[in-house]
Amino acid sequence: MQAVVQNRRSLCYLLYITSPSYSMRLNSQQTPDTAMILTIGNVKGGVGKTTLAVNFAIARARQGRDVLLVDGDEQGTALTFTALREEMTGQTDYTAVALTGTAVRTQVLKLAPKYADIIIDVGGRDTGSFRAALTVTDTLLAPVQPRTFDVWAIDQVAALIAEARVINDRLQSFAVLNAADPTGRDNEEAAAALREHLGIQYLDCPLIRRKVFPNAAAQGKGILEYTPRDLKAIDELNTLMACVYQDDTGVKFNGYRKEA
Amino acid sequence: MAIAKKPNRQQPGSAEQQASRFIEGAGKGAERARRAPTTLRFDPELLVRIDTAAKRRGISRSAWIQYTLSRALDEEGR
Repeated sequence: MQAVVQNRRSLCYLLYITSPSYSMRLNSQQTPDTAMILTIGNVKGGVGKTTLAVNFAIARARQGRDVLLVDGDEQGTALTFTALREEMTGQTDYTAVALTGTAVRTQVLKLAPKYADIIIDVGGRDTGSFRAALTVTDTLLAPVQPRTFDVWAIDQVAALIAEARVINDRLQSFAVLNAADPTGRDNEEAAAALREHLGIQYLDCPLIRRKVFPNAAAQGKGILEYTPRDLKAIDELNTLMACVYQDDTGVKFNGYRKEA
Repeated sequence: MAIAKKPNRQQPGSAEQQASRFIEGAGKGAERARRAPTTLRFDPELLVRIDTAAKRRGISRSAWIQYTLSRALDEEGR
């Protein structure tokens, strides 16, 4: 199993460094003192955007990075979670703000030099906030559940990405299966449908639906902090983060690493 | 110099204006066509099977029937 996980991580990385977006990134003029901006979004609601966003924010903060979490969702769940986190653990480890519409673009551009990482949680439908995020983000990560309607919605995401690339030529986009089934054929069928999209790259780093995500959230924690530890979930999250951030730091610093 | 230089205004089509137009376009996709209601009679056992299949995919009975029919029609090339 370990070999499979390691290989999958290597494969994700290999796929990435051979992709056009990687050479585009190497050629971009982005300075290292500007934040890496990641948007976790989809036009479909209930795909686990906020759950992923807060877990990413906590994981990056635990690596010692200065993280800004932007809540661009009208429901404000990421911000409410952060309040709960402060109440229950006494600290947040990252900074959270709520922004909507054009402000997502203007404020994120202003704040980018002040942080190492910016994570934008946005979407649920085609909103101004989602579009504004697409104009400034380095990477869009679209979580997709292996369900028919979720897979259909990716067409609309791909269309928006194509439009946004006119304004933001650095934009790279990934789709990943979230809350995937532990067994059955639906994951593979959904993955096959997602691989067909040319405008969005499918990352083969699925996150299986696991109880640790809601359990940790209820305590204001990320799954990396929650006990008892769910090592499978942690490994899946680390693998996904290594693919998205194109580094191995997620594995090295998140406080959990399987022995090689 | 008593005459101030005219401020350089953003030209139409500048990056910022392009971004604004894109952001303002949110939610203005084509309006969905009105759906026509219809009544169908099903054998109760078939209905149970449909509901089970729909539940497995996490969608409603109506959505499952529409999805399955549209796929069947695609396969027939209609």
